[in-house]
Amino acid sequence: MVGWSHLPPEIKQHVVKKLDFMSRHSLKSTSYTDRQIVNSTPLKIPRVRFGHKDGRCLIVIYTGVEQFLRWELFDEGDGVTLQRSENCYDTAEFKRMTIQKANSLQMGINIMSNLLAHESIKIDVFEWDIPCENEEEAEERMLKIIEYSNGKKFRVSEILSNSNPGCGIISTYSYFICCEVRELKTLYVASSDINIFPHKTVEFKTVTDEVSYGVICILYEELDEIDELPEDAFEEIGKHEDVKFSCAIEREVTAERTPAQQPTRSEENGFIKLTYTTECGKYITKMFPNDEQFIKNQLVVSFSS
Amino acid sequence: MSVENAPVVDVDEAAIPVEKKMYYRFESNDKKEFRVSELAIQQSETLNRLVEAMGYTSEDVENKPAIAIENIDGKTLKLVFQWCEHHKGEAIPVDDGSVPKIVEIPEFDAKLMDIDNGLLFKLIWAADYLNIVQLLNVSCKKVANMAQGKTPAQLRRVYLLPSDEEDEAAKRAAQEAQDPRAREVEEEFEERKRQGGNSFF
Repeated sequence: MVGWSHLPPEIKQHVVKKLDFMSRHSLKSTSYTDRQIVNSTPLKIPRVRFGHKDGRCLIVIYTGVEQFLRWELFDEGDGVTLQRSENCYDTAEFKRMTIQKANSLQMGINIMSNLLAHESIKIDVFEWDIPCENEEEAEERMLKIIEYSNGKKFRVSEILSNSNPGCGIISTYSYFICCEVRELKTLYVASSDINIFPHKTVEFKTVTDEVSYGVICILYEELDEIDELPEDAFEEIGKHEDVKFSCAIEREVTAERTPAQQPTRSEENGFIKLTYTTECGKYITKMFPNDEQFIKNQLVVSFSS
Repeated sequence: MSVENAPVVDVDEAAIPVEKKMYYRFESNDKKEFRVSELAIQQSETLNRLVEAMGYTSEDVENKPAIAIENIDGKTLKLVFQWCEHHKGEAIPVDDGSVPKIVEIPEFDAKLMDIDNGLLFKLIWAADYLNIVQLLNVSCKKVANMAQGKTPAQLRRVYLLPSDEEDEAAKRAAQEAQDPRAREVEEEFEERKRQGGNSFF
């Protein structure tokens, strides 16, 4: 009878392309030949989140819309308790196991490395959430992560780290366990007192390509605050030798969808301001005149000439 | 349209519909003949190119022998042509390189592929050979769905997979079968052992 083993490698690859993430991993563990087939079939993962705090570790691999794999690890005595779930937050559905003589950070990095650190797998966004009190603690944590990753590297397009005193260290050291990184973002979020919208989000982004540049992105509820943006924020970014341009983007967050509107342009105090509306809200982008054309090309809205 | 009503017919089973459209005749390796519409053939890049190159007229189709498809049996070819007739005129998907590939299996296809695994793998093979992109997509998706939520041990049972050891043994056997000198050396070694020699050298 014709079976899986009789199919030529190129047809097996067609099947592997349609496997969900964990089935792909299971197939990899069946035989040498199938491991080779899986490893030769590229896979893109939209987002991976890794967090570690106070002896608790969280790994979430987002594989599609409302599709994710989630591991939670807790240090308990000299071992680790592990909970695994798939597309579900119901704790009754979690699979649990305990591993002796391990710690959550080491086990978490091991799980991630085994599943994701392979040249066939490309992660679009790798989110690091490792809150630290200070830079020394962050450095110590990152050195341990590098040690536990055992030389394996993740292929990542964008690294995103949250705001904390050690975020600079995390961003820098993450290059030792990630490769092919094109964007590095640090996100600062402040919540509002009156609603669930982020009151303020500041994002610093570095892109490593033919040109490197920095972008400050600021989201306020009130659009008039963009004028309070200190000019030295631009100058600070401009000091970096790789930074080719900078801009500030301000967004009015609304619960309702807004109709898209063509941008209007104005000049104020040596800056160019573009005001436009998309379905996600109203935006004002502020930039130096020299950066205008480049930034227009980067924005999602189209500009009529 | 149900699977049963798909307009692929065995020549000896049903009357040929009288239509102006051209129906090509194909023959499987177990000598079963099928009539397939010109539009349905377009789903197969291989067959489409073949009939284009042959340049048959309606008279040629009737008077010349059926086009032989040597390496596909009648049971599989019937499924292939049923699928092509049902999906005739549909656009052929272009691979956008995305992985994992999102594929929906339509109801008709699901019913058509409600078959044993052996026949399903033959269908995949045929879809690949005849270069029918969407049939290959849905049939591979069906095989991929069989793996969903399975552990490696369960997958071995579902796909009838060999273990690493069996895999290695099969590879060795295949190499030996391909290398006549290796087989000669092995036979000579066995012969010397029978004659009482302790060592080959």
